[in-house]
Amino acid sequence: MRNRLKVLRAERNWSQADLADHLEVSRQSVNAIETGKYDPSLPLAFKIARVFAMPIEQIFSEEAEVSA
Amino acid sequence: MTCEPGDLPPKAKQASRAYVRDMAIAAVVYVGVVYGAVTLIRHMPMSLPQWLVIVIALTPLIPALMMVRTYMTYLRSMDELGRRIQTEAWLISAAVVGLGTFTYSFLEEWAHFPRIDLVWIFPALIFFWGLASFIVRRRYT
Repeated sequence: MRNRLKVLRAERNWSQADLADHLEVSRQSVNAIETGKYDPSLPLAFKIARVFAMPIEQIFSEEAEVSA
Repeated sequence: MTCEPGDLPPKAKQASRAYVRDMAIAAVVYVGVVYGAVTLIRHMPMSLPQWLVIVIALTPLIPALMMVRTYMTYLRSMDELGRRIQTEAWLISAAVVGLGTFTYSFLEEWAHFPRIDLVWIFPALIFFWGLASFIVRRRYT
């Protein structure tokens, strides 16, 4: 799964630690999601969408969908 | 094994500190209980009744259960990636120690390898969990 977390975070001038605070997760989790090493659970994905005030599908997309 | 404190949100930092403190208390209790038990069993002038020896031999279980409770509390305070890392690390440790002891038991029986006490299984689980935690954590960094 791909995501726009890094871009959205940069738009708000947030560090990974800032976003981690908003999501109440570790900075390592934010980094792992951004780099695609870890796909968040559905509840965490919804929380991310809430933090960025965006629909979930505008943040996350399937790998196949993007490369098609 | 904990995350770097700077990487954690405030609630998790608090949980991490409580984990270190409670583990240290349990470790001190463990040393005291084992020392007391060994002193009682080996240095009592009269021989103790069997039931009492069994009760004394079971006392190290109390601080061990304190450690398990402390770990479970800490595990529940982790975020989902932390819990995944811990789950994978325990699975690797269980596989290594489980298969290792299973295989070694055949070597003991058939190839007359030296006997290894069961008491080493738990420390081996902890050792391989620590090692696996380090390796698995790196996969997500």
